[in-house]
Amino acid sequence: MQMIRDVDLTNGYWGALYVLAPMRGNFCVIIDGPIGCHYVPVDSALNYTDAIPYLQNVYATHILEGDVALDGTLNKLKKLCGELIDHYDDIFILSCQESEIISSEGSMLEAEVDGRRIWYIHTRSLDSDDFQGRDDLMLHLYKHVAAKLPRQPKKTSDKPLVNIIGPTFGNFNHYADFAEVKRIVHGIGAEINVAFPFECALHDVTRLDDAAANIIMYQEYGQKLGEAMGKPMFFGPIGLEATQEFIVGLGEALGLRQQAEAFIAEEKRTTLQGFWDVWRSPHQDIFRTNTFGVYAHKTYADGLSRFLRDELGFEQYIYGVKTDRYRSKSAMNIEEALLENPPTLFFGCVNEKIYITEHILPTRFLPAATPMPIVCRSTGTPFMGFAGVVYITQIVSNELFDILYSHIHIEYTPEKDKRRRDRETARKEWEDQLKGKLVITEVKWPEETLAHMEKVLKKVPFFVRVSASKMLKVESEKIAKEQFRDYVTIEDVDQVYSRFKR
Amino acid sequence: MEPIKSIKLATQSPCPAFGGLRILTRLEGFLPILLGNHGCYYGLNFLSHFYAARKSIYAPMLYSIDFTDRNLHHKLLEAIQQIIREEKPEFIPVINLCVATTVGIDIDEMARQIPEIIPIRITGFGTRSHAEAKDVALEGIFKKLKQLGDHKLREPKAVAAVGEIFPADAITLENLMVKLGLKFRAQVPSKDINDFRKALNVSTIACLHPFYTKTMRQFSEVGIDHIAGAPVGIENTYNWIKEIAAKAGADAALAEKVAREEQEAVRQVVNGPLNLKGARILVAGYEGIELLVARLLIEAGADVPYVSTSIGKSALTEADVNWLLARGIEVKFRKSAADDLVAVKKYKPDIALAATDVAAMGKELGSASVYFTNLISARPLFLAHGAENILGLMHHLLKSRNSLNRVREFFQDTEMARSIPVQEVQEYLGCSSCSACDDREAN
Repeated sequence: MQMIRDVDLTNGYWGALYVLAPMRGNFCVIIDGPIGCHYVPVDSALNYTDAIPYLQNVYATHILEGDVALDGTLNKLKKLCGELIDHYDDIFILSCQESEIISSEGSMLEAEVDGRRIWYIHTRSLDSDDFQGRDDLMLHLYKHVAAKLPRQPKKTSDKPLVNIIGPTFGNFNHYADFAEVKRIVHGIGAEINVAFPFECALHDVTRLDDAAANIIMYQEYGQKLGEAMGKPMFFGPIGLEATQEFIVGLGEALGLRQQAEAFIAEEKRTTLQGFWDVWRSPHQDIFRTNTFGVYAHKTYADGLSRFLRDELGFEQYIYGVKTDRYRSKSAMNIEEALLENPPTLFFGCVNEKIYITEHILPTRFLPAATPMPIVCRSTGTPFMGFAGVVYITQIVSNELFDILYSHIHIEYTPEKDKRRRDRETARKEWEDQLKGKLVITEVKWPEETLAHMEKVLKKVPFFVRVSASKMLKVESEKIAKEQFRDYVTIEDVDQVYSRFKR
Repeated sequence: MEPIKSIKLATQSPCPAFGGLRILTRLEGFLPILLGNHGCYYGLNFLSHFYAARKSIYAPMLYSIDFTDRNLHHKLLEAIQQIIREEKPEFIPVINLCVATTVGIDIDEMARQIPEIIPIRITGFGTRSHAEAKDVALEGIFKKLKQLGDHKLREPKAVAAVGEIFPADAITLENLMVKLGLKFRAQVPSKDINDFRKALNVSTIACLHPFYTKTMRQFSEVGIDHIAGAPVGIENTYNWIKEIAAKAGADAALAEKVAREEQEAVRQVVNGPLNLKGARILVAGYEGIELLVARLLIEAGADVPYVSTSIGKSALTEADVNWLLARGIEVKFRKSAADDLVAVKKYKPDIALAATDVAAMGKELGSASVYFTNLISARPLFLAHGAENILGLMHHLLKSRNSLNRVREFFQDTEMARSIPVQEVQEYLGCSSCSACDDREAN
């Protein structure tokens, strides 16, 4: 058994909740768990991932000591269902790790009363992760729940219909990616049938089969449902080629090949114009001389690697997929990887941001995965599609240039007076030396200090290394002189280096 | 439709374990380990990393098959020993969460085998609120230090404070103790374990937050007395200074003089231009300081009809509760989110100081609501300076109502995701159209 640092994958219950919660319709969710299982995913996390302050149709049994030791939660569930069944057509009871370990008997309550239904969802929280939870529940809704719901009429449209499967709550940056995928669907002349579960009602599950193709937003989950529906599947694309393949493939499957190609041509003249210009400009040169790392969920990890490495020419130092860390035995130690070879840019979640800060690495962090306490609600920040190509290019470009600017000479206001005094002292020394009043001993660089400077310089991005090396040398010697030493220490170098990061 | 009865089951609180982590992750040299389910790890890490400390939390992946493993205890010990070898922490708090507690993982036995371990049991079903989990964490730390014999250098006329306060308030306390001729030795919880050691060797504890009942028992056991409350507002400032002075053995005449001076300073602020006459403020907190905040606001002339908290009643809350009840104010212990939501609707406050979801509903209703933790717990509260700060904030919020209503009105004609239906909002505001509200505000 091994202790894992900052577990960054949650369980099946979270997955199930995040599939059900965004859907509209007259249904509610009962969480069969203690208080933390109610407030942490709903109030604490959802508030900081999706910026949603309140979910109106979520209730909980709030397991207490007596329930664990004696009664179980069946009575509480009965009472809750009794109160709620008059108000809602469907009630979904979700198991949590705690109700699973006390073997709560919620499944006994599955019932249909006067056209109203109680569903029990065993989320396998003790054993599954949140992506499995999403995968399983989506399939379950399609295979078992849909049959009991009133069949919704088919959407009347002369355009071909497409489903979008995912996103759910708690993905990263999904509002923007979802908007971009919808834009592409409309752009090639197709229509969205059901955007499940993010922008649909529960009853729309009965219309899923009306579509001619399925877009599975993420490789992490939704495929089980896609396979069960048996239509052509396309995955949310990141990068130029991936997006092109996606659009052409989707067009082909829907009989819209020509429109798809026309859309791509139009995109090159519009959306992608900005990318083309940045790519032609000096920005692009620094892409090819820089490095990056990514540790994210599969879609983002693969997509960013493909785009930044294969298309923009970055060198890739770190590649890690979150789920692999748990599903395989060869778990990647992300902190070690960062220390071994710190890249210029790193895409990850709050944990890696902390490691970078903790170890005072020069690596710049860019958020690209959950858990990450930032609001991503603007639809203008996609990673997917052609709009994503422009957006990613823009953020990496700005980040790299910000590194450059941080090495551009600056006179810090609080240090101005001291610098002036230093100059005057130095001038006097120099004049005295020329007049033969003073013999100046040169500051020496012991071998270990030189080796250390080499090591430190390797952490500095290549394109600013020359100016950094000059600054390190001059400033370190200055510190040595101030302390009346005739040699530079490793600490002097580190002290100057830490200033780079301002 | 009002199915509010159903959510009444719960005391409003995040997972209690977060309260424990808030204390334990902030201590330097501590390496916290969670035992439970990965769902708990994920949520608690996430919360802790932006509300406690940017510090790693370790945990083993435990699946259902592991819970049937007879060697689980042994395997966990080995894993912990390996971490000790690699990271060399000073202490390892091992926190048993719901699932691990239910299956009976014996952390006390682990602590007997590995001296660095501080065993801590915090569950969603047993610990009633995240505030009270802080008490559990402190109790665990003090028990450990007592086992190590760190309580044997008692110093007379020395004071330590228990309760998380704004750093400026700690300095205020220190200065106040100097004025009284007392020594202020430590304020815990802090990031330095030595502060906890110091606290075990003073003569008097100032228990600033009223949920540290278990911790106070730890002090009583070694003969250290405590007082409750804090120097907040006119009456409390005087009483608190007198009481701490008497308990810690300060000169009575000097104490009377200092208490009068400080009280006068608070009175000047409270009765000055920052007074809150005509403002109705609802105070819905969760860790006991809301009782003090409410008293200050009431002294400043605000109409505070409702005060709620997630913690339970104890001897430590008695004085403040009696004071509030004597003024006919509704005081709710172990409140649920529903209690607060109902109170906001019932009392129509100008400002609601509340948890995120209730504050969100307040905003929908055009009340200048803010999140208690981020806005109230994050500023000084003690003596004149604290009063000035809190009352200043209230005036700032009152002024912000126009911008709040401008945005609220913009969305009033559209079906947005809401905590409450538009119709109810309009009934609440007592008018049919929203521009009328703004007119009312302008007048």
